[in-house]
Amino acid sequence: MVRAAISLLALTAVIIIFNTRFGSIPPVGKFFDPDSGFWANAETSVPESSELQLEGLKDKVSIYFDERRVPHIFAENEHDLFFAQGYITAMHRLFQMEIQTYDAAGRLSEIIGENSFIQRRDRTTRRWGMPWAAERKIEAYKQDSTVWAVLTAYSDGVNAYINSLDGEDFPIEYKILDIAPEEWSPLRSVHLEMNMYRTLAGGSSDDRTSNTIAYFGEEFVEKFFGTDPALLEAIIPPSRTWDFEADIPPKPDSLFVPKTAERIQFFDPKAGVGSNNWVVHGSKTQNGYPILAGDPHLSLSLPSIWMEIQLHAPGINAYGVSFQGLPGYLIGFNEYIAYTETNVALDIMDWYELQFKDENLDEYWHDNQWKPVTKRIEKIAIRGAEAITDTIVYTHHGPVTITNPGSEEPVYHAMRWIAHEPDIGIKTFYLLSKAKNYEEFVEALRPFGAGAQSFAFASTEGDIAMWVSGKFPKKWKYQGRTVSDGTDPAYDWQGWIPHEHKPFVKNPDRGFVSSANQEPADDSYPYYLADNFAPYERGRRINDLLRERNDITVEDMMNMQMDNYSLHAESILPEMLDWLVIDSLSLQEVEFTTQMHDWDYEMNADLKQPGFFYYWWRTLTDLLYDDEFDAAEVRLREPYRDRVVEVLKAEPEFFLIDDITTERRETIQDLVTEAYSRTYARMMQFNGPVSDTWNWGWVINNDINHVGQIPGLGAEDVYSGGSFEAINATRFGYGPSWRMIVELGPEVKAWGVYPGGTSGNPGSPNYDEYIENWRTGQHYELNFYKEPPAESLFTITLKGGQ
Amino acid sequence: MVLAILILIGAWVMNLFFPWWGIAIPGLILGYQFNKSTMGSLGWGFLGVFLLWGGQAFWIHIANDGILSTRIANMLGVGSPWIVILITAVLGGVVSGLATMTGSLFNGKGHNS
Repeated sequence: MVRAAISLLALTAVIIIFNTRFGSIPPVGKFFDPDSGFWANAETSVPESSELQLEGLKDKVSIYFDERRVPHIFAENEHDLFFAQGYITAMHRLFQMEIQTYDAAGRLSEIIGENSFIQRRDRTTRRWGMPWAAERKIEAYKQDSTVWAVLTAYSDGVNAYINSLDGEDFPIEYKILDIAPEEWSPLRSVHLEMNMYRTLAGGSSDDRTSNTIAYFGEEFVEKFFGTDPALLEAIIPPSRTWDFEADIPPKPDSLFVPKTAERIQFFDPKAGVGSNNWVVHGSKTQNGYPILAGDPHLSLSLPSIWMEIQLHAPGINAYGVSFQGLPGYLIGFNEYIAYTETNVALDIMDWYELQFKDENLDEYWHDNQWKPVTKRIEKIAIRGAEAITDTIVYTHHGPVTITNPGSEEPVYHAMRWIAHEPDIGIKTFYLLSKAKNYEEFVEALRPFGAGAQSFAFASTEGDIAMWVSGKFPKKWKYQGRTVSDGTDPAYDWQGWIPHEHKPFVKNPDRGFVSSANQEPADDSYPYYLADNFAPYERGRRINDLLRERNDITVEDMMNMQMDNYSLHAESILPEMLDWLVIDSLSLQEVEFTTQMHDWDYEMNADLKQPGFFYYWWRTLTDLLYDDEFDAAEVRLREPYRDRVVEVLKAEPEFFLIDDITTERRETIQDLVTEAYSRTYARMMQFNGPVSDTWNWGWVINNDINHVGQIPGLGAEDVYSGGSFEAINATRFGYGPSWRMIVELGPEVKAWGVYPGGTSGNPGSPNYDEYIENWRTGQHYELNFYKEPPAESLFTITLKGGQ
Repeated sequence: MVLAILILIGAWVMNLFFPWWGIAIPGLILGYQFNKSTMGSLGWGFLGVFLLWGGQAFWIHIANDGILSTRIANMLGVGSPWIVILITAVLGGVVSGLATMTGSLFNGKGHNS
């Protein structure tokens, strides 16, 4: 009997151990169970058509999945349309919605457990006021009955799906993390909206600009950040004149000099965020119809950030790519208009150095008086551990961040951020999905607040346009590019640039509009927007190609989206090869220079030169700044490459060239040669002797990682061409997350591809189905139905229940 | 062999209605009923669910073209989807083997024969 008892004990222990999560290892018994563990997520056949009764629907909804499984929702009213969208999106992308909202609300620790990196991220998310701002926005959304109805219908649809699930039906990531889906709400949609703004408008270099002025002087900053490169073409062409009186706030007499701050912001600007868009007028196309093209560049992930969807109900028939967790779509078209956005790096995040009355941080000095703060307690729950709390102080600028905490001289900064404004940006996308012409397009942009975007537009009426849109604070020149004085009202944001004064152009003479994150308007535009935008190369290349072409076809546009030409290489490689001191190189190194001389600046996957050039330039810039920047001991602002190119060519004696850590005075020849040898050594080390392993397609290291960074669920080393400075901006796991082309003839036709699939299930062949077409630039023709299609891969019919 | 087959069928049914640990129930009951030797019970019990879970995993692996099992193999760093199938089979087998042994021990036949 003793042996029986021991045996029973052993059995119980094994069951308990197999049912418990250890660290990041899921409970193995539960996880490997073929009936309800991960095996249950393996798709063993194409889904079959089904019919469901769902409480909350008013009428019947049919969702047709085409051969690529793109859902086409046909509903009898808008409520049911957005309800069904929520349902279908959750069905395909629930975990993605979940993890991104946990992240945006500073709640990752709740599902991950104790992890210092995650905890810091949660804390910073809250210090940035993200949950606070989401709550502010929710109040604003509630005031708008139309968009509130859309948000709640969507949320109800998501919950209808969640409520239909048993544990075995949970997406595989839930099983890996051993968690269950959380109820959805409009607030969670708004958290996602905040996440989008953090990605698009979460960059700021205020501290680094202040430090750079202190260290190198005003002239240096003016040279690299205040001067336009000669080849730059602003988004709005110079033919546009500004026929209004601009009301610009007065500048303080002298610029505030802040205390040197180690590091204010915690999230660095995302280097990979950018985009292209352009529209060609019918006068330049073969068919005589406008053609619109767009490709947003973001961090690539699986499941993809986007999902294609068609929305059809009385009063609306539209197709676009949705952002999972938000109703509607962000980029797309309907039967009348098409639009696509690019990001604009407007200066819409400012940092204010504060003076508090005492350590209690109850009052701060502003406009010659002590003003009270408000405090908000943030409680961060941690899985398997005690929750932590953080009291966040709010001034009228915004939430306060402490730099150098615990030191003798802590420095306090308040953050003013456009994403904190109680705007209702989702309304813009709702209105755009129903807009019928240019006028309605312009009106739809009005509620759009955070995350300035350049909206490219085309209509079946033949109009083309570009609107740089969003909410832009009125600023004096260079206001907020450095750390601001939190005591002086002259540094506060002082109202908004009127909608009609924003940089836009309609039907310009040149017959096309385009944008690629460069400066929105040239110096004749009266308002100050920011001191520096993306380098000129992509925008210039697009304009050069469009200018010289007529009789443009859809195929031309597809080829352009895959254009790998590097204006950057063209602008500096000949000089670099000239400066190279051949005598200092080994025989093998010299041999490779012939290949570099023969290169046509195409960043193609099968070429060896692009990878070599990429690291050669990068090593050269390291040699240029690292000595000075390391000596500075504070974070400085790195000059943009296009200005560096110009300065190097014009001033071969420029002071950064000298290596201050050596006795001798280095020349540009020394640096370029040293960089060449180091690059050669690097390539030998990582890629072996010169062979196909040097191909850019491998060097580009294009990993499309899982959205929750779970190993094995992504796609590694997607062999492809592209570059930072090429129209095809693919590189290092960033790049065109969706490529779309729309021809606005009497019948709107469209093509598109993204690196992923509708299904967010790693156990489905559809999960990464489009990657190969995306990699090779094969756009799919999109099925834009006017009537319910006669054929579909499968159909889900939803009916109202009681 | 009959014991293993009955455990396989029993565990398959239990797995449909109970959480994963339901696979231990047939072992406990049938181990008691059959009252085989300790090692014999352990072995037949192990084999029954080893074959059940391994077979189910194998079938899913084939029907899914190995898409998910390959991803899980990468996630776990075990190199091959076949190892994932093997782990699945062994995990089920261990639980069932222990259960069957426990069953037999409770029937008083606590010695090897």
